[in-house]
Amino acid sequence: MTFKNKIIAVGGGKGGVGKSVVCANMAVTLALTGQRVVLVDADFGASSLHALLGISSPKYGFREYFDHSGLDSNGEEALLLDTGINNLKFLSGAGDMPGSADISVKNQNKVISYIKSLDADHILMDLGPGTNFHIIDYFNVGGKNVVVSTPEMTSIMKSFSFIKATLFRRISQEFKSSSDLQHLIDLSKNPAMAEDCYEIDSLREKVEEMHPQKLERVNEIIREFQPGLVINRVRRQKDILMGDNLLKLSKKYLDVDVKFLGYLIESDDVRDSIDEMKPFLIKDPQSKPSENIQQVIGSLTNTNIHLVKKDDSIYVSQQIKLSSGWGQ
Amino acid sequence: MDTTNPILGNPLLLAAILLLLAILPRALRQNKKTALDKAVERFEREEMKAAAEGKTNEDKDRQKKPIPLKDGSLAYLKENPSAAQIPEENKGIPPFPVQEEGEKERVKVVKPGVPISHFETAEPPPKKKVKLIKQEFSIAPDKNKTRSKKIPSDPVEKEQPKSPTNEQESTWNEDLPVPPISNTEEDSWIEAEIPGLTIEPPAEEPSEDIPVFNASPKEEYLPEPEKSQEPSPEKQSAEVKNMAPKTEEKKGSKSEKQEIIMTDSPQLEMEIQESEPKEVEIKAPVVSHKNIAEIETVSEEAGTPSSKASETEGEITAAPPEQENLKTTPETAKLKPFLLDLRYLDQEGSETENLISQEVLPADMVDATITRLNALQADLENQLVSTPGNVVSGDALVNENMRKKRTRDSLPDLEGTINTSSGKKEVSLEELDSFLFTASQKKNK
Repeated sequence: MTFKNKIIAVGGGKGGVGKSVVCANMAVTLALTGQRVVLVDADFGASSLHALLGISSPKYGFREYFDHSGLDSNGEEALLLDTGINNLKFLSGAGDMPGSADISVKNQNKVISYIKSLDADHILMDLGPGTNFHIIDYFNVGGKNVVVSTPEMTSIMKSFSFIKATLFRRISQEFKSSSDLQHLIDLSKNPAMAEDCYEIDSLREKVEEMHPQKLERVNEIIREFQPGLVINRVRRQKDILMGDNLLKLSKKYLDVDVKFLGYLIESDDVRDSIDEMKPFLIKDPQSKPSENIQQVIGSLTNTNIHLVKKDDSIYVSQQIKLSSGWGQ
Repeated sequence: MDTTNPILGNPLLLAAILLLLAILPRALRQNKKTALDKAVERFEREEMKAAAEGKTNEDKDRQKKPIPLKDGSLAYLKENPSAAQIPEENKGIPPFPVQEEGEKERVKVVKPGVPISHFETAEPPPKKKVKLIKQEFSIAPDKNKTRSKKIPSDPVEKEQPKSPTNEQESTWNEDLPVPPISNTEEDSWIEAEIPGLTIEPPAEEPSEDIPVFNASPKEEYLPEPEKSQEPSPEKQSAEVKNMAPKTEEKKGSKSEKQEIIMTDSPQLEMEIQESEPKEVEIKAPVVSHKNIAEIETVSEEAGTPSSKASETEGEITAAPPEQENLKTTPETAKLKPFLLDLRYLDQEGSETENLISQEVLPADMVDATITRLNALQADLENQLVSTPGNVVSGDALVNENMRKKRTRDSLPDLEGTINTSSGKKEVSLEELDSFLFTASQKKNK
């Protein structure tokens, strides 16, 4: 498996939608199925993922990685913390020091390189909220991109913005050397173009106008970008349909095929697990939210997974590889 | 059938083709389903499953939940709900929550207020009604009037602890006719036999039609010290004068029994009035309040009783601050005559011209009646203030709405956190689309 395919980036434009909870439990599910998993807290500046795993104070994190000062003789290996769950390692973020999120481009590339080099079957990156380039670049590291949203209108809107920013960033990175295209795509450098390139069709028109030979590559990038969507905190059927709205809007304005991976119901099990600092999948793999997460992982890995708990141990009762699906 | 045809002649092949034709469209439809469609289906299945489970639990809970009876008491059904027959008028009343565990009786009664007595209702005697009503109005006994004989009491009554009212009962004149017992539907609750059901005396629960008043301390309703004081002879006289037209009216229109009531026992009168709901309105003239008569006259002249309502209230007692925000609406117009229904007053002449009765009402009764009138007014004010939107306006309306919202928002989720919101509003794709910057930019272009 290439590094690209093993990295699953979990993001979303809005804060508080449950990215960390979804990401942590996805990692736990994958680990319980016997795969080696590293869970990365890439929410620099506001790390909290360790709390969901019951790790009170991570000994090492990216802060130590940046200066190497705090690492012991094991070097970078020491960064991977035990979680108490078989096959699951944890890589802590940079704490909550003010300014931690504003890491330099050099350090950012360093982090990305390190993540890519990790020896694991799956690397799950939990990103912070927002659509700034730091976040988007981490998100684009993933071979599989999962957008987490809640059914609320504002959350759906932010998710759309997040997908749009990600797509435009991908195109922008692809044509770094072409300054005129950069002007078209990186609207932060040329806000006046925002009116012209507000959607993918208008961008295509401009690219075709200026560099017709590059249009095909643009279309490729658009086709390759197929983020998955998880709707969290679902309470009724129409909440799931809000996800459908996001799919339609993404197709309409960005020509992006967003794949619906599944949903998580709003449940006290989830809240309790956060309070108890224990992933709900460990508490009860047969609870509703746990089943939801298994569905998500099933969609993500084209498998049909079913976990059961017996005598304080969790077993895989079913794991069938499906022949087709997302993320081949 | 053409047996020479290689296809039609082969029944197995024919059956296979037909089967294929039947399955194919369905299989094609199945393939078209997206992940989201499947998710929706799954969610529906889970919801149906949860609903089925919930319904079963609900049935179980319903057996545990008490059924509020009209008198305010709660009857619990346990194990076999059909064993307790719920009176027709009590059906449809939403159940109250939670039954205490460990109850062995099939039907249990929770006392709605201060426990007074317990008695079985296997064969409720008709007189019970009179007694119950009496308990609602704990009016001070008329010491001036002595009753020589006791009304024959039923065995149930004997079981009850003696209250001041019961003591009075023991002095009633046996020769007096039994107070009339209404057979209206509203009162039939007491006559309904509920096997195995123990019933408490009715709670002092105000209803829309028949306001029932707690015998609250007088100070609570009467800020003016003069009203709570012993009325002077002149005042008493004036009250009696005002009382007279009512007595006359009653004599003309009501039965002989009521006549006797008026001349004998004011307490009994109260009971009879209460047993006939419509006569609650008569209570207003019983007070003989001067201001009421005046306002009613003015109101009739103007032809708009509601417009004068605030004046009435202002004169009777100091209106609460909320009254300032009250608007004259159909609700108030409808409610006000209820308060000011002075049909039994002679409004043509002056107060003193129509004094016929020579009776002197006891001071206790006057005080008690005034208290009750004030309670009626307070109750009416409450009704007016709590009527949403129609009678509250401006800042008061905003505050009222905010208060209600706070109350609603602060309600705890009873059954988990799923499906607790109303979920009436659904954001459509078009609506969502219209809020996107991308969409507005496209529109601008």
